[in-house]
Amino acid sequence: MFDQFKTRAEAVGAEVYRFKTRNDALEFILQFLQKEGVSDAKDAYAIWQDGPFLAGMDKSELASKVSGLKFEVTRQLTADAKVGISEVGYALTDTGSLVSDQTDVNSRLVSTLPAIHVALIGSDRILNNKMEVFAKINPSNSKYIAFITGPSRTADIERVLTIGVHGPKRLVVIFVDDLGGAN
Amino acid sequence: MKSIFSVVNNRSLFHAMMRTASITGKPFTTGKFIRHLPLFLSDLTDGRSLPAISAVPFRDRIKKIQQPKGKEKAALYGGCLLDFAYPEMGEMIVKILNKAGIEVLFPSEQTCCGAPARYNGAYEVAANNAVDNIKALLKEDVKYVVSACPTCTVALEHEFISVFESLGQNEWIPKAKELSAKTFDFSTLIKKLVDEGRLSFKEGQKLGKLTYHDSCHLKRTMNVFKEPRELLEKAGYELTEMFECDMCCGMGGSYSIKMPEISAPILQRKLKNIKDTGAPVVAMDCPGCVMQIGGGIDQDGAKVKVKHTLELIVDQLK
Amino acid sequence: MSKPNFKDSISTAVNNATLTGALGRFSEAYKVNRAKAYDGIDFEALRATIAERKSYCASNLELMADMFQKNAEALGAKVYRTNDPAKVKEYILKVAKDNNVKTVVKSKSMASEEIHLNDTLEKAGLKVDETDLGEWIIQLAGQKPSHMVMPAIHMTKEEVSVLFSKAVDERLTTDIPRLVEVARKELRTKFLAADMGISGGNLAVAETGSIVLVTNEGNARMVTTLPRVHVALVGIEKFVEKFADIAPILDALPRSATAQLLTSYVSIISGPTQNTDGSMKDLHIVLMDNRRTEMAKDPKFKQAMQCIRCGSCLNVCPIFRLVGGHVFGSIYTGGIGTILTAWFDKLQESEDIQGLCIQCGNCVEICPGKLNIPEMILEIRRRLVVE
Repeated sequence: MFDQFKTRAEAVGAEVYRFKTRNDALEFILQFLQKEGVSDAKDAYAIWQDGPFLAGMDKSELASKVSGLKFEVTRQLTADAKVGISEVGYALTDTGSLVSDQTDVNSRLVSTLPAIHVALIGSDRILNNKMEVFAKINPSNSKYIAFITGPSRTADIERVLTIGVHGPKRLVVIFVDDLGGAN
Repeated sequence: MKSIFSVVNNRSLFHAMMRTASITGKPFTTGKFIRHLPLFLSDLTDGRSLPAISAVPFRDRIKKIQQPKGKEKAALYGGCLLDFAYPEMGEMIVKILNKAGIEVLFPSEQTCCGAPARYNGAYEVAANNAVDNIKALLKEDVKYVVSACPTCTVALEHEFISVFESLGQNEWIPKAKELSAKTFDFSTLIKKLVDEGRLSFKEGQKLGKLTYHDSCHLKRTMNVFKEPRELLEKAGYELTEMFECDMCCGMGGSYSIKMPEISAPILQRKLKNIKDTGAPVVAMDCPGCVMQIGGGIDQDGAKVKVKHTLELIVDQLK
Repeated sequence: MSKPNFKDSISTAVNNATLTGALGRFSEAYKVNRAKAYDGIDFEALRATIAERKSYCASNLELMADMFQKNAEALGAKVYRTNDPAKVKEYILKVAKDNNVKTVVKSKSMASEEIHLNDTLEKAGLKVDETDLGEWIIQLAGQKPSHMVMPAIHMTKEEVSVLFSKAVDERLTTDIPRLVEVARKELRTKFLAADMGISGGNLAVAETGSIVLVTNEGNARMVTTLPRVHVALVGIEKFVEKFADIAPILDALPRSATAQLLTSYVSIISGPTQNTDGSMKDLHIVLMDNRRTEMAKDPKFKQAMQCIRCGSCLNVCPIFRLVGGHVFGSIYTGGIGTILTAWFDKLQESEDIQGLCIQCGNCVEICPGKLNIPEMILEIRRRLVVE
């Protein structure tokens, strides 16, 4: 199922990775942030929304490893961030989509405003299609259900596909085998 | 515009005008095409030549054809173009059906199928056409009603019923359904007769490359597109498909008169797609398309023969 | 009789090589890409489901609206229902006034175009910015959308470059990624500053009071998240009864509209959520009729309520690809636009444009709502003759 998801998601421009452990994933993320030049300056922050992935981790130690990595989500900080990191609920193989309960406005900020969205998800959270996810998500509790399929795109000028008009220009999806049930 | 379809729908006036046109049209005819049609159809020659109006319409020609008296009879529904512009197509249908032992009648009271009226919103006129045609075509006990024009076939098979339904003329619906059940387009009927072993093709014919243009009504209203291709391949043609083979040719009946500025570029696209195949022949099942595409090719000067399927198979049947 | 400028507008359009070239290439690519997008899907079964589900709602509009209102209000949304476009505008103006709104960002809404909402808001002194890239281009150019999914398909990058250069007061090249980047920057500040967001709704789910927004750019996520007030303007043809009915429409809409398996973003909003300052969003859902109920009661036109606004009928139309949308002269273009114009404006408004349909039936073959557009256009012709 992971392979099916990866094929579909990459076809719409997402970048997909898989790691056995949280520590492996963490190492990758820290390197990724350094490579992307994340720093303590406007338009260069990375904002990481708290979630099960970070449980038991020492955030101040992480922040000391990458200057500009912040764990506080505010409207202004995310607007000035280069990278937003958040956990998402499900991945769908049929369309390569991520589906999440984004009732919490912060989860929308980190996945919408920065130029790069890094989405973390447990490898056991892959479903086949919309009907399966609708069986698991109830709109009376989940007031803002978000499907995210690849980065933001437009073809409004001369039908030329252009990535990253209002939302993220890159979507990086990281599967973690030992993450367990997020969201 | 209204004057045109009121003429088309006034049977005797229309027929009289067509006959007049065949005479007044003569001096301007070059080969098979009129370049300047001295008719109400003058705009029609923009980007396309028109077929000559035949001196002797099919309704007069069929009387002279000697047919074997068969047990089985078919009524041929001509439609305006076959009757007056392409009567030779009517003669070929008679020849083909005779080979299958079917006698062909041409009920002379038949009139316009009502499509022009319907397309112009004049449903009452269309309903009058439907009544005249039902009376004419069901007058004798025929097994089939056949037409080589998809627009007419759709009218006979579906539109008479829906026009009566629209106008609430329910008393005519059973007769319209009876007619509908007997109605066949040319290729579907011939394929049926071939499948039944009543018609067969000469063996081993190699007739070269051909491309096929799907007419809108045949393809999308009647879902007929395999049948003519199968007949043409059995006859010995090698089919090579064009790009957008089922895209409209821009004829649309009176559309090409009302919107010549749109019809013409649609035709040009079609001509390009035909020529790009390199096939020397393009087949189709609609005399309206033959008129549009044939006229376009004539003005274009390309060496491509534009033929109705029936013209291409008539001599290949045993 | 034809308005004198109708034939002129046709001649202008067919002789515009840029327009016919762009639309022609698009329609050719669309056909192939759409088929690819539907690979492995039983289209006939899918559209039968959609037609049945939408037709059910069209037969029970009052019930759907009641159910939607009850459920959305239970979640904390304010629902306003009216048949009258003037009242829609009045209501939205009042919401703006009550909330001391100065600036508005909009995501794409054909319903708002239908009633010329921007004019009203701007006349009342509000600053309104369209944020869908195509709609923004159209707004800057002072034009109407020419296609319901691709509003600026008729424009070239050169024209866009001139418009954007004026908007940001900087001489821009015609490099498309650069133009998109300019729009991103310019509109980003507007998103962050806006007091009110106005969206449309691709679907309204009666049993849950949810609205569904389908976009590619991400602008609808911002419009519904960043400003403290959100107004969703939804035509009542957008109802589905059940939450599960979202699935078949999401299966068809992106595939038919842009040959995508799914758009980049789908948001299902069920009641207000918190704003970024911790306050609750003021969420208003306006259910607009504007003769849709009357249309649903007309046996010949009820099927028009099954339309999911994908625009695929335009993409396969041999006439549309030659003349584009502006020849149609109104908000909704193409075959479906002819029908909607006849209803939402008036029958006589469709007198010229109904004649553009050549009755080829291409649109019937691909319509995910199973509409028979040529048949409805013939019915319009018939009624025009009767009148």
